[in-house]
Amino acid sequence: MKSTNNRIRIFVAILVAIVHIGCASVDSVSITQIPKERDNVVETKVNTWRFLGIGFSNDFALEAQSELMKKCPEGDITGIITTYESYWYLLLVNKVVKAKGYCSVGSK
Amino acid sequence: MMKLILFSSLVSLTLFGCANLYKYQMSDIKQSEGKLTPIDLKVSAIGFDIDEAASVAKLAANTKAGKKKIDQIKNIISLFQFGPKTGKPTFSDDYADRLYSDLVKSCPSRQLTGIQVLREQADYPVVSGEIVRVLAYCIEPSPEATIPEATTPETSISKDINSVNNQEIEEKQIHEINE
Repeated sequence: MKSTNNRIRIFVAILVAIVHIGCASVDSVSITQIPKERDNVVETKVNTWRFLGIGFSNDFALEAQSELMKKCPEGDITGIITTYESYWYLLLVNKVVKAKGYCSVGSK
Repeated sequence: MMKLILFSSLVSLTLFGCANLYKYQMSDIKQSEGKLTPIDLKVSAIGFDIDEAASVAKLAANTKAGKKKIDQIKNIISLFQFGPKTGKPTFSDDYADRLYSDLVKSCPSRQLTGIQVLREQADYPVVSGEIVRVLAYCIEPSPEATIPEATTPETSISKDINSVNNQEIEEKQIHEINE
């Protein structure tokens, strides 16, 4: 009974550690010119999981732009803030690209 | 022993070519001004890691004295590579300079939008490919739209490109004559 309790404690401790050890870092940030009209916000987030940070392509980041373009078809997207972040969870890394901008349709 | 080292190096070169992304940025996107044609440009330089090179060299060294010498050489070279850096040190720092002119050259209308810049690395043991990749859209304006007058800073750059191209042609001609 005592050993079962100990095992449960160890399991809970490992679980808490896994959840809380996640270490985050912001690798890069960029901002473009911010427009006067900021009503129509478009944003997107793309990510990829990597074991020990090992990956063979960075093309996941390029999806951020195509996702933004899909959300503002035939319009202009300005005031884009782009962040590239990494989250470490023991042996796994979550690489995230976030982009947020303002869509103006028919500004031609 | 040497065969084993060579074989393991070859295997690791093949298997551990790891793609790292250091920086990513995106510019404004104008989809309303005409047809968009994608452009994809890439420049790179070879990066060199002295610590990894020394480790490999130590594996090949048979004597203690040899290993000590390798350590000394490594320490001297390390002094020249001191400080924060992105990726492995390269032999030149101007390999990305021509991206701007390449971008301008690849867009006849001189109207670029949706520019994405990626600073990435193809990492192998000892060496690496230090890469700067640029993706953009060239706006092909509708027939009634007028191409802006060539008075922007890009004009001077495109002129520079032309003069560089002319110089290259002249040099080639001289080289051919000499041959």
